[in-house]
Amino acid sequence: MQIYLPIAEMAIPAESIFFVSLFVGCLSGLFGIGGGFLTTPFMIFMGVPPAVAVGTQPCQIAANGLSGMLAHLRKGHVDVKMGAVMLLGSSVGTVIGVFVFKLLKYLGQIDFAISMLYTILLSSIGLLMLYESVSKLLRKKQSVKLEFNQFKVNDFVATLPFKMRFPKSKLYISALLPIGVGFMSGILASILGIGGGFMIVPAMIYIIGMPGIVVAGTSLFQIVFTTSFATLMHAVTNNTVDILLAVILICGGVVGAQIGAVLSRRIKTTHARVLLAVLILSVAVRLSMQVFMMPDELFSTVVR
Amino acid sequence: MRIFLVVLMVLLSAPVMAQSAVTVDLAQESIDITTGFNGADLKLFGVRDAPGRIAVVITGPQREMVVRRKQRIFGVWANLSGIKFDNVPVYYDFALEQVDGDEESEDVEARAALNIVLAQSGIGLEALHFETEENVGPDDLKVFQGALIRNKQAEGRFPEAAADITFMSDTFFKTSFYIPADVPTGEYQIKTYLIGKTSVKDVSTTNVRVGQVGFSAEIYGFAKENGLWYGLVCVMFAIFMGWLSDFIRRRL
Repeated sequence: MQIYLPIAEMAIPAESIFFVSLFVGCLSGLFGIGGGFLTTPFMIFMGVPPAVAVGTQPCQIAANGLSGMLAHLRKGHVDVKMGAVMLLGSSVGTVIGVFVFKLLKYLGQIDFAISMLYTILLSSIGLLMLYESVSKLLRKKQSVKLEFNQFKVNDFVATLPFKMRFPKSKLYISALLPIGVGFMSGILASILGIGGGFMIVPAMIYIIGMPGIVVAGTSLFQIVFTTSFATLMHAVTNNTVDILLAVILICGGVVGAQIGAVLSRRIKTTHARVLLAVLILSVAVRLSMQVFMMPDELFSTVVR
Repeated sequence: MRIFLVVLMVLLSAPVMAQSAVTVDLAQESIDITTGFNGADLKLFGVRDAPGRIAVVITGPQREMVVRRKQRIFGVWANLSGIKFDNVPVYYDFALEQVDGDEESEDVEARAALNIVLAQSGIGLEALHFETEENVGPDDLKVFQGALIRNKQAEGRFPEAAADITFMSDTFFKTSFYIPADVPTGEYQIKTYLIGKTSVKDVSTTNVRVGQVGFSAEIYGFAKENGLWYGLVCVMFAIFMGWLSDFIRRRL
């Protein structure tokens, strides 16, 4: 069924977008990933303008993130104070990201930048995930987390000013740390249209030094607000949020997440993780072809 | 039904409007883009009251467009150079009557004369002139103009070749243009030419509006004028769906 998107100003096959978001939603329920980093490239492959894909995706992440965050909140696994401080950084990051996005669009480099950044991002996540899951399968139980945790408060971090107490995380650290991590999240959300959980979560563990139990909830708490703000900023500044596309994405994601949650109780995710890593790597290869291979048509035309 | 009425109108009005040698009307006054829009055929009917060849040109609104060239740098392909053209129609298509003997084209002189008339009237892709204020050499300009046409053809917004004009009788003709689903909106101009051996005998101009209507148009207008409120609606919807998703999961 073709549906005309009023903001993208083009018709798309609605069911394909729905199934993509259903599939990614299912993955997010299974593996606890956000999935924005898969949906956005898929939409670009299907011909949605990258600017609209990136502008609309945060809206879906907000919906997905909220349902995850509520579950953590009920268990008391959200450090609201830490999340609020991170939001200071993320709002600045979002504003800067949206304007960088606008600048890149003006310079004609936005498609290149998005392909390039996604290639780097997806190939590194894919490789890490593949390494981790394969070594787990081979039962070399390397606990990477422990090694890092031992030097979580290193000398440099301890010297930073503006120290604050975070009772929930049992930390007394510089506010600059969560602000900096939030800033990174804001940039990722506004330029790439992703929640960035796969980068924020390790940063919260290894750089901020938060206890594992509150990390997922707090990162989701922060992501919900950051992506909501990114949606608002894109709507006001770039006019690239397509509500019809958002509705399809959110519906697919919500249904998919339920399926994923049910599936996760039945199947072993260790083996499936290898498949996920391969999937991510193949998306990275497909995207990198746009950057590294000689294109069929060297010229492109856009309306100024 | 409407097509029948148009045909009737054209046929009836033709003798009255004797001062004009060519009369045309459209099967529809506007192309309405709704949520279910998936491209449309724009049909045009006309009557010719004098001998000559018929040509129809449809031109969308003009925009500034940038043509960029990818080049290899440090192993990656990136847009490095570009030229801005000031007057590129977002959509262009044309139809040209095929006269018996066109194929043989024995008459080289007549063919050359026709080509001059076509070029002067802006009929056909060769007749389009894209202007730029930038300082570029003629060779580069040619390459970029060719690329612009190729890109637009690939998008389905410029034609590969002239469309056909069908004659139902000696005087009564019809033609149609395909409007793709991702067509830019705006006021489109349709010019119908009656071409003699060396000059244009008559031109008839009509307009068609291509625009979003109904729900689709309301969303577009709302997003353009009230970006903040539009963004808030999107966010509120996302929040509601997130809550709903959580609610469903707790019940499962």
